[in-house]
Amino acid sequence: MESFRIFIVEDDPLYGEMLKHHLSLNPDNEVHLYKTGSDCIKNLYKTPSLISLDYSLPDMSGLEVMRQVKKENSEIPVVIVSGQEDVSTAVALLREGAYDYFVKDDDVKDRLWNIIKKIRENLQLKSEISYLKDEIGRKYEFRNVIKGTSPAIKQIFSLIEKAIKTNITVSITGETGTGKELVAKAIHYNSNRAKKPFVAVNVSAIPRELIESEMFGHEKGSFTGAITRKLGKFEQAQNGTLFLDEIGEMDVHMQSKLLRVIQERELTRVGGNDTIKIDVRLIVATNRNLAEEVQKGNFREDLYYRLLGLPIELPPLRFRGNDIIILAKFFVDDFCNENKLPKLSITESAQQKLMQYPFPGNVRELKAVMELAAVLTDIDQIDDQHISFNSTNASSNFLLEENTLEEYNTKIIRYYLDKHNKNVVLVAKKLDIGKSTIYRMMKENKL
Amino acid sequence: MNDNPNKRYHLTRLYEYVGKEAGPVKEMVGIFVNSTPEILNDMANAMEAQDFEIIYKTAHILKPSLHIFGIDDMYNPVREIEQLAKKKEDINTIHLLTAQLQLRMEIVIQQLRDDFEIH
Repeated sequence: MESFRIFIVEDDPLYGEMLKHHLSLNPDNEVHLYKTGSDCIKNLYKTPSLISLDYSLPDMSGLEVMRQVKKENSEIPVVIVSGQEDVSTAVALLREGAYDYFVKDDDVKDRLWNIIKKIRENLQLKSEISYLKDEIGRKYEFRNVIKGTSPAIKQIFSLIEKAIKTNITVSITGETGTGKELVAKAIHYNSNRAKKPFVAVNVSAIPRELIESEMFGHEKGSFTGAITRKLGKFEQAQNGTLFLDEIGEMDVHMQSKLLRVIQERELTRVGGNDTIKIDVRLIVATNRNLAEEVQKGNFREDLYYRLLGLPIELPPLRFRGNDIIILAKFFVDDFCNENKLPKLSITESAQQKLMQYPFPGNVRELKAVMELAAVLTDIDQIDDQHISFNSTNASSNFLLEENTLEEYNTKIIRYYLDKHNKNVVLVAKKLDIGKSTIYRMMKENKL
Repeated sequence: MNDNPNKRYHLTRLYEYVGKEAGPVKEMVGIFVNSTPEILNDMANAMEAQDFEIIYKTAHILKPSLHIFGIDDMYNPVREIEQLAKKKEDINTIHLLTAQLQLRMEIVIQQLRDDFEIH
């Protein structure tokens, strides 16, 4: 671990030397002793990890020194060690941002040890968090997570790049499973807010009566069950990004409150009086057509325009051509890596089967299909027999077969006859065609 | 170091900070015996000039050192000097206490010089 630099600012030569000696007993501590406040300030470029500051210095008061330190770098913890047992001074110093205040007595050295231990742990945690945030940033580097080379997805890349450069509100639309949250995360973790929180809220998952307190927080006692103060999602996302998924499901009453918060950039917690300024980037998503919802009166028009910002419409997987194969390979590789399985290839026939399927569940469904295939295969490749679709909408596969109209007619009539126990009269009625047409096709062995 | 029964100090608290190793202990004693007369001198001058601020500051600096060197009988008098000087009142009491402090500290410093052979 990097050495922990401590400044002792103390004009009492004995006390200063003694603290220096004591704290230097830990070889990880690099202790510097200064006798005046100005000496301490001059040396702040050495970026101390902690300053132990005597309150009464010959050239300036501890408070003045601390203010200067905080001006230079507000992150440096300053501990005031004073010969005075004056509570009001202590309170004033703590209010000004002192990390701790204690009187020169037998406990000073132990308390300093404890503080150093605590600060070192905090620094360690901070560096771990920073590392993890970088890792997440790398993980969400958007070209690493959003795969594809189709014109449709290239268009999305170009919009994401535009979204990253500014704080504009982004509205993402797309069928279920197209990766709306992934795009939202890619925007956040590649933007200048990347080190700040990304908070995702699924609006439809929050009961109507709780949504206001979930979004804006509440004060203790503001309603039955509010036993503590709670920060809302907006405050949790302060300086970061708030992702509101399924925004189309928000009820009209809440929409007006959300509109006010977005317009004013401030909020009041439920049951509270204080106004809290917020700086949050909004990304919203929906699989509904919000413009239609506005026309139907289900969504406020003013909120719709506020939220529209930069619209990103994610294409369904079936419109992404060869991306299906690129993604299928990616999911198989990823699954094999994660589960320490040997690498698998995908046969031509399996690829054809994938390309013919409409994927109503989009990328999410493709991922599930490929993971299942990787589990089912006993050889080093995935063949068409390993690909199975369980979609509720699989019949739309039908249109991808590109048959002639006559072939389609035959298939439709055969399907109805099977469904209705070869009842020609009923099928003719349902399809609004003549019975004779069906009989003729039967005679020609077409059915 | 002798075992003088009239010893006016004890080093228990100093040991807690720097341990009992002779080197660091002697180093701290050296700092104390060399810097304290200067502080006492500043205090005496301030008494003559009735400069409460300097009296307060010198008492304030001395206080922790007296505690560390176990000069316990002088801790409360110095504390009182500090408090009276801060309030700028009762110069006579301050005078009395300062004189007592000067005398006692001369003895302690000499004892420390002798015990640790610092000349």
